[in-house]
Amino acid sequence: MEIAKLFEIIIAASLINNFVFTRFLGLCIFFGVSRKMETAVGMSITFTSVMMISSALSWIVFNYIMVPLDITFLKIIIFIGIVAGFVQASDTVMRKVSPGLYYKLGIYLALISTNCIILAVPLINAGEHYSFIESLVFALGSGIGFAIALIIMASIREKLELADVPKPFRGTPIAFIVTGLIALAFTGFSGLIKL
Amino acid sequence: MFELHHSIADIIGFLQISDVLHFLIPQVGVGGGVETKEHVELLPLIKSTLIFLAGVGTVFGLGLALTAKRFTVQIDPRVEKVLDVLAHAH
Repeated sequence: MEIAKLFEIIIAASLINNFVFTRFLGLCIFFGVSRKMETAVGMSITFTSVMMISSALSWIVFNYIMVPLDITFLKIIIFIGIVAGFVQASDTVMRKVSPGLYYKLGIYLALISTNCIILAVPLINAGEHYSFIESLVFALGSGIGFAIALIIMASIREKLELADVPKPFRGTPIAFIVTGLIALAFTGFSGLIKL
Repeated sequence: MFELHHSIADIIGFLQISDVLHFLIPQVGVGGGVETKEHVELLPLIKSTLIFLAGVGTVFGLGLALTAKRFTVQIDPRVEKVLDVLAHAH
C-alpha cells in the first residue's frame, strides 16, 4: 500500500503534473539548457540531486522548527534561503573536492538556485502535508519529470537545427510552439491515476 | 452635507468591499492550503519570527563562511594575468 502510494506520487509528479508541460514552471532553464543533449543531461542529473537534498532540508526545517513555532507564513523566504545556501555550499565544496565534476556540472548549479521548480517542490510538500519519504519521492518524481521534458526537448531541438523552419520562427519561437504541442500531448496523461 | 455623507456610506455598504477583495485576491496557488485562524498573538509571533530569521541567518552565514574557509581553492595569480592578455569575447 505504502509503496503503491509512493509510486503514484512519482507518476503524478513526473507525467501527469509535469512541472514544465502542465504547470509551466521553470521555463527559463528549460529553454536555456535544452539546446543541446549534453547540457540537457547534465542539467537533469544536477537538478534532480539538488532538488531531493534541498526538499529534504526544507522538510526538516519546516516540520521541526516552523510548524512548532507557528511561523509557517515565512516558508517562501526560508525555502529560498535554504536552497540558495545549500547550492552555494555545494558549489564551494565541489570545486575543492572534485574539480572534474565541478567543471562539468558547476555552471548548472548557479542556474538552479534561481529556478522556480526548486522552490515549488518544497512549497507543495508543505501544502500537501507530505511525510519525509513522500516529499523525497515527490522531489525525485519532479526531477524525473524535468529530465524527461529536457531530454524530449533537446532531441527535438537538435533535429530542428537541420529542419527548414520559416525564418521568423527560427530559434526560440519554434521551441515555444513545440513546447505547446508537447504540453497538449501531455494532457493525455491526465486521468491515468484516480486519487 | 449630512445627506452626502450618508449616501457615500450607502454606496460603500452597497459595494461590499470584502466581496471585492475576495474576488481580487486569488485563493489558490502553488502549494495552496492556506490555514486560517481566528486569533493571532502578534507580539510573540513577531518575537519568534525575528529570533528564527536571525538564527537561520547566523547558521547559514557561519556555515557558508566556514565552508569557504575550509574548502578554499588556491588559484595561481598568473592564470588571471595570462587570461587578461588573451582575446576576450566580451
